[in-house]
Amino acid sequence: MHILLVEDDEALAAHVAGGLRQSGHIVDHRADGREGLVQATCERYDVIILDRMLPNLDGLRILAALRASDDDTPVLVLSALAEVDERVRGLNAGGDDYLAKPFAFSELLARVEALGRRRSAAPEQATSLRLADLEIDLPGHTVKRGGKRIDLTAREFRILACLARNAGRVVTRAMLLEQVWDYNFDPQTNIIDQHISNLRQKIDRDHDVPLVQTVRGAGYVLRAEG
Amino acid sequence: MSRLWRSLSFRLAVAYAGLLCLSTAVLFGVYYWLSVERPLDEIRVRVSREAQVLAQVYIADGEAALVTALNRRAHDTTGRRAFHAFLAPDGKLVTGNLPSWPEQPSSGWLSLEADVYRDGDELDFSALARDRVFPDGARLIVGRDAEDVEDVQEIVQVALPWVTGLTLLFGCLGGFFMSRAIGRRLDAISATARQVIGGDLGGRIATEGRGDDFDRLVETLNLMLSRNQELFEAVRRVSDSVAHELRTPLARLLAQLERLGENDGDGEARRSAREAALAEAQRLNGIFDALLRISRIEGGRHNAAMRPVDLAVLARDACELYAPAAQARGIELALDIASGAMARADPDLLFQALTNLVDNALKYTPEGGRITIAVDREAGKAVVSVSDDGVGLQPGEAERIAERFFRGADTRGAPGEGLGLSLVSAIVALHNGRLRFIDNRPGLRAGIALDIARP
Repeated sequence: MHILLVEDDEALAAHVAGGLRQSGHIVDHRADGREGLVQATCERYDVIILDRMLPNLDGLRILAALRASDDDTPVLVLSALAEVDERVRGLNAGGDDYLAKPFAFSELLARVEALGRRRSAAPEQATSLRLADLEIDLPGHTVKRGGKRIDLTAREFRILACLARNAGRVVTRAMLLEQVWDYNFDPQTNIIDQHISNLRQKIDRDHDVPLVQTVRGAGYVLRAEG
Repeated sequence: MSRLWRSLSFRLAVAYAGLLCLSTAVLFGVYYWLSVERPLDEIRVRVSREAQVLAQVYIADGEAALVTALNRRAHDTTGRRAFHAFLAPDGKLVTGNLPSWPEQPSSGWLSLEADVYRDGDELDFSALARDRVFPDGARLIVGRDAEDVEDVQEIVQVALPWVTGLTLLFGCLGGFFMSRAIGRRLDAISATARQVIGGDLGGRIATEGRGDDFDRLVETLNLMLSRNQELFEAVRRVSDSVAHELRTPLARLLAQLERLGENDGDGEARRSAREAALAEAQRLNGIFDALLRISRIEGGRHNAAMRPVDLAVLARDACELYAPAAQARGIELALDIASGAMARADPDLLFQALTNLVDNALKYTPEGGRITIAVDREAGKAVVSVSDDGVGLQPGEAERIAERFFRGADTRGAPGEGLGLSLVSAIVALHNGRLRFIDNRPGLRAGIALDIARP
């Protein structure tokens, strides 16, 4: 993917850009707000990573300028302002995702890849998702594996759908929390793990190939191979 | 002088003295008018009328008729005693009962001595009289007794300087004592305030024990000082613990990074040291986040999105969220919704508070235990509560449980930083609600009471 990173902290920018390149992406970096906006309008990117506090031009103003010129490039807003209401402000300004500093690189990578995929995939009208012998019927809320129906709770179904939409890509615990639960909150313990483990029980029991896989230190991924 | 004038107690004293003098002067004036001026006026009116009538008798009917009329008047004993003197044009007395009169006639009012001797006794009289000279040279003096009124007038004139002096004296004395009493109590308050400003937060103002306005003010101020002291001590405890709680993970982080630098050979040791360092850094970040979040919510800087929220839905979602974790630990997680209750709240924040309570309950409930999330109405409030049968609280812990970094005596082994309930407490305060911890025998019941939202 072609990614623009607008971040004024040199060490952090080098760390992020290096990591993204290692994962096979092409990264342009700008440290100044105004230069970042110019770069974003000159070239077409798959994802823009935008810091909120930048010299010369605030990140949210860059975002507003892009959206005002009908540029719908997916934008991930980075910020040291971690509060829920700040997050809502970032998303309301036209951001597609919001990540608070400090963050683990795996979290950033998972979110950037999810954003890039959202763009390349056709607008999501898919009514069913398939992975190996797993079939998910979205409107019917039914799941089959190897032709056999699996009973899931409403929550387990939403978790599985979220994983399936990002099939092959890591979905972090925080992403699952944001997309599967209707509250903006911060659990004190890894409460998600138990839900995943129940889901895994139902999906992968009696099957040789586990589909719901844990990525150490990052999150979960739905994929057919190990 | 201007400083003295600015002092409230001095102005009160002056106002007190001034008011006392003014009211005494008014009372005195009214008394003088009622007992001196008015009776004298009545006498003057009567005498004027009589003098007029008698003069007409003389002019119309002559001397004989006047003498008859004068004598009849002198012998009428009703009302004030009547006096008269009628002198012929040559100055000889024709008839009269006045002992003396001035040589020269005058046009104003006369006050004549008119003592009467009867049976060897002297009766004091004083006649208020009118003098009239007819064109033929005859002179008529007519008057009536005003001795009693003049006595009163005389007394008043003697008393006036005394009363004035005494009023001023009492006014100033009263004002002085009054202002000293008020000043003394104000001084006590400001002395204590200075003591507190100087750093002695334990200073309290003494009450007089009379239950008066000042005592009530002092009680309120003392209450405020106590509350300030409590808050200050809480802040001091928190800042001490912040330093301690942040230093400990920092120190561990440093140690792990150092170990990472030493072990450059062994891959497995490096990996575990790196993971431990990462976990420590994340823990540190978590503490920071939680502290910032709590102070943001406590400081009212969080933009809460208040709207009617169904507590039953919130409780059901929390129950569903924690069901797998509870199941994994062999704890029964039950939902008890007695009646639906709507409360005005920020659903995200309230859900956060509720999950923190469930999280806590899970931490301190042993395997095989039971946790109940309940929604009910109690005393006109919507209440959502989390009860467990875990270790519960030690006496005296309920007051401090919501303090930052506070951890109960029986909880040393459990994970956590002691910030979860501080966040709950801050969220509940933001909602003007009440957070209560009740001994569940065994275990603990934590309840959030909120105002019921009218749909």
